[in-house]
Amino acid sequence: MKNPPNIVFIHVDQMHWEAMSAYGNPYLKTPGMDRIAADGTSFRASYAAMPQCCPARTSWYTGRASCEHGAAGNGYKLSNGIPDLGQWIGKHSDYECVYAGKWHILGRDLAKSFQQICGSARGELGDAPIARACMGFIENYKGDRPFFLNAGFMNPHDCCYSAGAAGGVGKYALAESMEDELPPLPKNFVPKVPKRYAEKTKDWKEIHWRYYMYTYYRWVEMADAEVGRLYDAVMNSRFADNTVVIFTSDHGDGLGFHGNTSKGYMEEEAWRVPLIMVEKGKIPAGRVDNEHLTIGYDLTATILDYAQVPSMPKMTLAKSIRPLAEGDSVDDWREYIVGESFFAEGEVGVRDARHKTIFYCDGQVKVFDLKADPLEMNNLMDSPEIGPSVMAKHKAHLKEYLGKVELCEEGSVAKGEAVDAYNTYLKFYRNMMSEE
Amino acid sequence: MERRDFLKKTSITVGALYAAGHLPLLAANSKKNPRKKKIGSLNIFTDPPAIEPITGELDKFTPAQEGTMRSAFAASYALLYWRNAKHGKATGDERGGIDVQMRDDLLQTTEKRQGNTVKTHIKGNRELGAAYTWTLESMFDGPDSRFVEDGSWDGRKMTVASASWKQERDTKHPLIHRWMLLPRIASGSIKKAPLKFDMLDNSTLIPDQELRYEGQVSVPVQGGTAELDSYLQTGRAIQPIHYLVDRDGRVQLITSSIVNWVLRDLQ
Repeated sequence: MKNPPNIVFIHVDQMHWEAMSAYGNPYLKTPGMDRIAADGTSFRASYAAMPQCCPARTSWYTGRASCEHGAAGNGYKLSNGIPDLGQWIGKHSDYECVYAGKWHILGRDLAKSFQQICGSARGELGDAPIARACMGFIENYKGDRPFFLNAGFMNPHDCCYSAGAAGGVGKYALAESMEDELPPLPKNFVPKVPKRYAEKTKDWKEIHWRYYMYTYYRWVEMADAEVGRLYDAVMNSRFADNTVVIFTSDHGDGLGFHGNTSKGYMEEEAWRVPLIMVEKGKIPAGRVDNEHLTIGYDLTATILDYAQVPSMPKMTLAKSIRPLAEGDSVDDWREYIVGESFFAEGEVGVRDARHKTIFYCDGQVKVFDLKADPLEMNNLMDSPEIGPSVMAKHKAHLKEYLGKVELCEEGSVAKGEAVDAYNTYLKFYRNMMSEE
Repeated sequence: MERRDFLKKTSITVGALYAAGHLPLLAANSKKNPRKKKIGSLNIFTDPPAIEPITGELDKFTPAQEGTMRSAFAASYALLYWRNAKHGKATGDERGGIDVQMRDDLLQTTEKRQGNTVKTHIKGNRELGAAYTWTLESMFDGPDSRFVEDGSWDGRKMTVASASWKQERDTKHPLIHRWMLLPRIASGSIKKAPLKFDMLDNSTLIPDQELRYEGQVSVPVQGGTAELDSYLQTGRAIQPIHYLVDRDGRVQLITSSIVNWVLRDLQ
C-alpha cells in the first residue's frame, strides 16, 4: 500500500457555482481559484447535500444525508452516534487532523475531533487569519505522518450582512453613483420577491439587486485572495508532490437568480456548488467534468479513500470521486442525485443528467430541462407531454433513495428552532416514503 | 516619555479640552457644506452610508486633536466589528486593532485579530505610498504557528517568499500598502486626482483599486459634529471603503462593512 497523501480540504461559504473567472464569469476576477481550476479537474455538476451551512457541512464530515444525521437546518445538532471525519480518520490512521476556520457542525466539539489552529468569524474579519494559520501549519509541520488540513473560509457569506447598515440603505446608497460598474441582472431575474429573505429585499429596486451582485462578487474576490494565498503556499511547499487539494463551497447563493438571495432552496443558484480537485501528476490539470453528478457527502467517501481508511458506518449514499478525478473509467457512476432543503417547509430536488424535479411539501412540483433551460425558467409541468413523465421517473429515483436512508428520529435542536419543526420534517419524509 | 504614558496623557488632555468646548473640530451647528453631493434622494456623503457600519460607536467617539499624518506619526486604531443593527444604529464590538508607525520611508504595523498577531515592516516611498520591500511575521498563540515572509515589488511584479514557499503576482499599478495610504490621504493630494493602485494588505495583493475624494461629511460624534473629508476606495476584493479625514490630516475613521477602524490615539 502506497503512503497516503496529505489532504488539504479548502472550503468557502455560500459561493455561487459560477462565481469564478475561470468559468467565464466576466463580473469578477478570481486568480486564486483560477489557479486551482487550471491545476486540477473541475466537477461542474456538483451539489450540496442540503443548501444551508450547517446541514451541508455536517454531510461533508459524516458522509450522510441531512435526513440521516439530524442537522436538518441551521440550528440542528449532529446526532451523537454518528462519527465525524476528524474522529474517524484520527482513530483509523496516522493522519494529523487539523482544522482552521468555520466548522458550523452543531453538537460536535471541533477541538475534540481535530487539532484546532484558528477559530472563525465573518469573512472580512477572520478569513485572512485562517489562511495565515494554515500557512503557519504548512511552514512548521515537521511530522512524518500525513496531514489532513481543513481550511474553512467564511466568505462570500458576508453577503448576508453586506449593507453593513443600521436600518437604512447602508452603502447601497452608492449604487446609483456606481451604476456603470454594476453587473446586469440575471436573465431569469423576476421582479417579485420570494418568501424567503423577503424582509431584506422587499424594497429593493433593480439597482439595489445589481449592487448586491456587485458586492457579492467582491466578497468572492476577498475569499479568493486568501484561498489563493493558502493554495500557493501548499503547492510551492515541500508537500506539493504528495498532497491532494479539494476546493468547494457548502452551498451557493441566490445572486439575483429567480429574484433570490441567500440559500435554502433547490434551484441551481443555491443547490449547485463549485468543486475542484488537484493532485500533481495524478489528477488531470485544466479538465472540466460536466457529466458526473456529485453531492456533498461524496467528499467524505473521497477523503476516506485518499486516507486509506474504511467507510464510516451506514454511508449508503456516498461515492468516492477519486476514480473520476484520476481519469479512471467509471461505468457504474450514479444516474441521479437527491438533495433536500428544510427551511420551515420541505423541498426535495432530484437531478439526473438532463432534468431536475423539485418536490415541495405543499404538493407543488416543478420540472426543468437543465440542458435546454439551464436558468430554470420553464416549468415543464406545464407541458403535459414531458413534465409528468420526468416527474414519474424522478419519483421512482426518490423512492429508491428513501429506501437507502435511515431517518434520524430525534431532532436535536441546538438553538432557536422548535422541535415541532423537526417533526414536520420527519412527517414530510415519512409521507414521501409511504407514497405509492 | 513612554508611548503608553504619552497616549494616556494626550487622551486626558483631549478630554479636558472637549469638556471646555475647545475642540475646533467639533461644531455642534456646522453650516451646510456646498460640496456635499446629492445623488437621487440621498446625500451619500452626509447620510449614513459612509459611517453606517459604526453609527453605534460615534456617540462615544472623540476625534483625535493632536498630531498629523502628514509627517512622522504613530497611530492606534481599534478594529470595530459590525455585528448587527438595532434601533437604527449599528451594533458591534472591538475585535482587535492595529498600531501604525510611519517615519520617513519606513512603515511598521502590528495588527491583532482572531488570535493572530501580524507584524510588518515596509520600506517604500512615503510620498508615493509605494511598497518596495517588506517583512511580515505572523503568529498565533499556539505552537508552531509562526511564519515570516519577505516581500518585494520591482514595479511590475511582487514576490513573497517564506522558508517554505515563494509566490509571485503581477501588478498593473503602483503597489501601495494599505496603511501607507494614510499619509497620502492626509496630504490632500488625492483631492486633485484619483489614485489608481494595487493594494498590499499584509502580503495579500488586492488589485485594481481607485481612491477618490468625494466631498465633506458631517459626522455626529460625542458632543457635536465633526466636518470630515470623505475619500472613497473601490476596487476588486474589497467592499467600498470610506476614509474620513479631518482638516489637519488625521484619518479618523475608516469604514468598510464588517471590519471598520476608529482612530484611538495619534502622536
